[in-house]
Amino acid sequence: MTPNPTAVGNPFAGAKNQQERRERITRWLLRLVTFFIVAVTLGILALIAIKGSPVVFRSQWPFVNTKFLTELPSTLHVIEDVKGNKQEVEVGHADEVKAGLGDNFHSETTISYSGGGILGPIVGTALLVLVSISVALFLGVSCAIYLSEYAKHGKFLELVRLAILNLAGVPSVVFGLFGLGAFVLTAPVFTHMPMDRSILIIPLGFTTLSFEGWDTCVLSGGFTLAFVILPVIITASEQCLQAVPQGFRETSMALGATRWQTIRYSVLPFAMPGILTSSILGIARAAGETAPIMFTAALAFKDKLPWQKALPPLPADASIFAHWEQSVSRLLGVFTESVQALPYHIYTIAAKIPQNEYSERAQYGSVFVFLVLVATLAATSIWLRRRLRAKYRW
Amino acid sequence: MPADLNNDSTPSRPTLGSLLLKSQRRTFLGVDKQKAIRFFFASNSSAAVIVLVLIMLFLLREGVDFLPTYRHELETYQHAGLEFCDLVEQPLAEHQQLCSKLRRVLSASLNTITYQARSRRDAAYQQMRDVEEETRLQRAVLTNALAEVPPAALEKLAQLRQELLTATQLAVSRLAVPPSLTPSEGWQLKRDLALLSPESAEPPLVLELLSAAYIRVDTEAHASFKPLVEAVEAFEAAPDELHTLLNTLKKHARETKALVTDFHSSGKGHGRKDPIDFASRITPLTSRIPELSGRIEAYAQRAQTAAASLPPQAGTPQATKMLSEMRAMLPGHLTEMRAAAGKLPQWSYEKRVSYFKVVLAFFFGDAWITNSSWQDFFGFIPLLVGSVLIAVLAVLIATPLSIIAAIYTNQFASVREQDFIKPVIEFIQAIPSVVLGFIGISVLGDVIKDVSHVSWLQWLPGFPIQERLNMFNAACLLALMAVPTMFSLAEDALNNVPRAYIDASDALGATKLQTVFRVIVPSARSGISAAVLLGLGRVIGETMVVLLVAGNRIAIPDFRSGLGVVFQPAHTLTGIIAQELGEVSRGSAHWQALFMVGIVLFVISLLVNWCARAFVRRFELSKS
Amino acid sequence: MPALQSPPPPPVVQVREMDFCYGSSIALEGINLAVERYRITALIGASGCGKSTLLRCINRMNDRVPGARVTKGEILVKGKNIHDDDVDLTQLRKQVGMVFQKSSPFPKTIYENVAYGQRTHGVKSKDILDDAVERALRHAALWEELKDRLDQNALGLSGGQQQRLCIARAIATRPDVLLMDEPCSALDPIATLKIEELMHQLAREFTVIIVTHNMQQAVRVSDYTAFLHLGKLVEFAETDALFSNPRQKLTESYLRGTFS
Repeated sequence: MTPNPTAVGNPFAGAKNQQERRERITRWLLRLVTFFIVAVTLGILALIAIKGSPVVFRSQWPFVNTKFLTELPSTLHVIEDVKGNKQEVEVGHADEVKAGLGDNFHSETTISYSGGGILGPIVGTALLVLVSISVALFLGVSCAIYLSEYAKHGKFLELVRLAILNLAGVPSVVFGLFGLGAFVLTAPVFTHMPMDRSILIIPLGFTTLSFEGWDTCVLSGGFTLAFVILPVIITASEQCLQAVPQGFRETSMALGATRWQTIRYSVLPFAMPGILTSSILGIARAAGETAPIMFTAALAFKDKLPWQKALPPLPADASIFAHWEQSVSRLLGVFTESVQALPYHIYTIAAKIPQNEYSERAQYGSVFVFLVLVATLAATSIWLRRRLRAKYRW
Repeated sequence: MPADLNNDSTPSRPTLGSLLLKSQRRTFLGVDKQKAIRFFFASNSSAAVIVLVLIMLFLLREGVDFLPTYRHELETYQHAGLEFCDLVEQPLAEHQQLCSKLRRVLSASLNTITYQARSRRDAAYQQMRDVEEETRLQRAVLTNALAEVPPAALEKLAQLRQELLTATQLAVSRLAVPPSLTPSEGWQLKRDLALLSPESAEPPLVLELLSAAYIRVDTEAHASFKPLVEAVEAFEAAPDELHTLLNTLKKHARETKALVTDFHSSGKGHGRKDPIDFASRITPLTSRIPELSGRIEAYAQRAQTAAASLPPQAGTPQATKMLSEMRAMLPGHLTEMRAAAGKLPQWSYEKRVSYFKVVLAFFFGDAWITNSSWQDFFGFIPLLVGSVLIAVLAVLIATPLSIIAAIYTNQFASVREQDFIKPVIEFIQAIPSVVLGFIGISVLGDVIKDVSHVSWLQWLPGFPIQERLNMFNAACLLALMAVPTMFSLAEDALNNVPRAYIDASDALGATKLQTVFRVIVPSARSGISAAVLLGLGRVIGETMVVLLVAGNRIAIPDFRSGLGVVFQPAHTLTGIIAQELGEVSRGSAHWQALFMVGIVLFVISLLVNWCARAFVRRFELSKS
Repeated sequence: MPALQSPPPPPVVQVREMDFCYGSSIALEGINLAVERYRITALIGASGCGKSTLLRCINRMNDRVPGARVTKGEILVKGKNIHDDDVDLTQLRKQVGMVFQKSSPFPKTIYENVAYGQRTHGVKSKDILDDAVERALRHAALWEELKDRLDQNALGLSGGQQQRLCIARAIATRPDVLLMDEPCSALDPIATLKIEELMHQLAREFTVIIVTHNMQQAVRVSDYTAFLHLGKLVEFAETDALFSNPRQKLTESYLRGTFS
């Protein structure tokens, strides 16, 4: 019965071919699906790059369409003469050109928002991001410090964690509603003449504190965005703090440092690079959100930059102090102005105006610039995080 | 901390040690610096909690008044008698549908006879338009010159004419005569078109002939389908009298409503309870109930007669089918009409509108009508259905994609592939939603529409589609947005499957595939479910994509088209807020309704989060 | 059955002059080992001596470790070199079962756990599966305890039961050789005792190779013992002989516990 071991065939031969083929096919199917997602993503990016880069870049010096990046959006007038030549004119020169054409004038088409550039939206987005990231970093990092360094297990900690989780899931448009209710219509301001809608007026003698809201402005939008990205910042900061080895803290405490000194000198310096890196991702997110700023900060159209607000002209002999005061109020006034923002601008030109070759150019141009900004931020963050991870390996 | 201990548990006799360790801290109002710092951080950390509470508070503050406001509106709707009119008006709306069906039957039937003649005429006209379009500029110049007040020099006119002629001849020579025209007709057409000038008011002779031929055929067609034509006309005219009466009543009701609105907006509403004598305002309506019922009955009779006189057969099988559909629908419609007539006498303007009814009207109302000259309704169902359909569809698309991608990346991909796939998929998260929405408008919509017109795909439900912007389009983009969330969470879940399971399965002789699909994926099931749920949460709360791409038609999608329903446009909870909030005045019922929608969204997001957490918790339990 | 004077049955597992490397570091060197059918062979040695590695070579569980490979020599199972190209890994592992140190039942029902091996080899018939599950559970002395709870989750079992379930799972595919990698190290003494009893039962139908760090266990259960030290096979003999009078000094000092 016992077969000769050398004479035996192959006891481990399998139904190899069929099985292997099935495995290979399945594996290829899985790979196909995976690369389908990748291809779609890259396809979208490529499309935007291909259609958008001609708007932003030029083949001649200085290679960049400076007009597109340094002018405010305006209405584009396309004037056609009888020969069928089309001429694109900015809003201010339309009549001039028409007069110049005289009898040869044939027709005129106007396309809103498609002329000029996108400086206004870029500036607005930058301001919004500035406010939101300042607020979010301040709140987020202190919250993370508490969670990671101070908090003991208990009801409060549970509550905070639950709140962070849930906050991350709140739809952005609900944040918009919240920002509208809270910042635009209710937040406190110092004023001499409270408005009717104010829900609480506290006289302070020299002025009054009135809960009447900040109106639609950079501050309202920035604060709203801050709360949208707050969960991101908290989670990332906490991870960075947790990554600092426990030994650092114990050593510091053992040397007699107080808890705050420990955090200040032995924890934060090591966590800070990571926190800042992750906050870049927060910036990208804040720059990309549209719904929260729709009712709190953004305007579809504005023909001035935020600091070009008309202030009463100073008398010719005004003192240096008066000039200085006006500059300061101009600077601060930037935050109390409503602005254009890139995502909202894209929404406007994508949804509110008819599609044609001219509007398409403005659309792809804006989308391209926007995507490049956001993608650069995100990519920087990812890249820095990789490097940091390699650098700080405890 | 030792210092604290010594401060608090004052020993009866201070030892040397405790003196040495005595705290050196200065305190202010009983709070030392460390405590202050700690308190500072603790208070900041409660920001998340406070914001969550504030979100609830502010949503409620603006939204909670919705119920009384809407109740008041509904009461006005009832007191002023608008509801009375709607009792008849609403079922009557179906008459329109039936009519449009009949009209389609009729045109399909006529088409069987007139098709050729019409297409010949249209083709010829198209040729003329083509020529005119090509010579547009020359023609414009000549027209201008002719219109000049001191007439232009004859030579110049002649020259312009010559230019036009040359251009026209050039355009004509490029024309391809469509096959529906005979060669001789084509030749004539070309000849006539070549002589086209701005002064010739009448179209070329061939065109006239073709038009006349069409009209003749059309008349013939009408004659041969005479019973059908007459029946359709009779059916269309059936409710005319009813409409006349109804419009009088509606006008009266609207006036009453305007009185109420004026009264409240002028601020006199505080003192008196019932400023307007609804009873007397309503009599003109109620007194005409017999007349109204009579006309309804007359309408029913007429409609029935007209329907009975419809021939059994229409021109094409499809038309016949539609005809029988219409016949099947008619009795139900007439029953409804008669039931409405029956309801009229019982209707009373005085019935109270309870809060329960208002809540029902909001949460189960099937119409969201705003800025209407008749009556605003804030029914939540069309939006909810849109949101849910889109979200479910998006999750259905995204789930297999992202989970398969996670399985492949985690289990099969080489390290180099992983280094490529993961960043790309993570990058999707950084693409702002408005950009994806823009892609939906500018690219995906056309792609889907074009694909739906491919002839060998017509077996798919809903194809060919009419609307570029529809739920399917939005769902595709939302699916792409949900992919990174689902992908990373699912991959985490797969990573967390204990190594031992894989070893054991390998040792039993399972192949890689068997190990993956029989051990690893089932073990990661709850993690994957949580991933799907969180993806759903992300999708249902997304605003910009649906606002831009979903088509924004506020109506409950027509489910009769089966799965094809996904190719219809719809509106969503998030989209409606984003679209309408900017345009309504603060404190109006509309404003408050939008905040109510916000509250519902907020609650949904909390629920989804809670479910996902429950899944994750189960997952963690089963692991330990 | 052949007559009495026929030569002893050929070894089921034969390792010849095998070297094994993890990347560039040599883990096993010049191993020669012949395992007889229906016998229990114990591999003993200090931690890191390579006994687990040797065990995992026999069903090629090391294949998945990057850089791990046999650099010299060969392993024959049932007379076939397991590194031959025409060896199907799944078939090999079906016939060379393995039980791990840490019990690792899948998070499925008891029934599904035991039936897993059969299912992966394409068995779909409910009758055959039922039969195989019952037989395997009877072999693992679990049938009486578990026959009414077959549809319960296997993670609800006690540690000893889980490990015996893993044994049942491994023998459900009717392997020739059963590899056990310190199967009792995570168990309490009573559960250990049960498994040791079980091993004697198993030896009637399977060839068992067990890695253990517990010398008493080796004495109690095994017929043959191999002592490994620093990647080399120092001594291989019948268990009684090896423990009563070891031929190598190294073995003796290890057994006495006076290892330098």
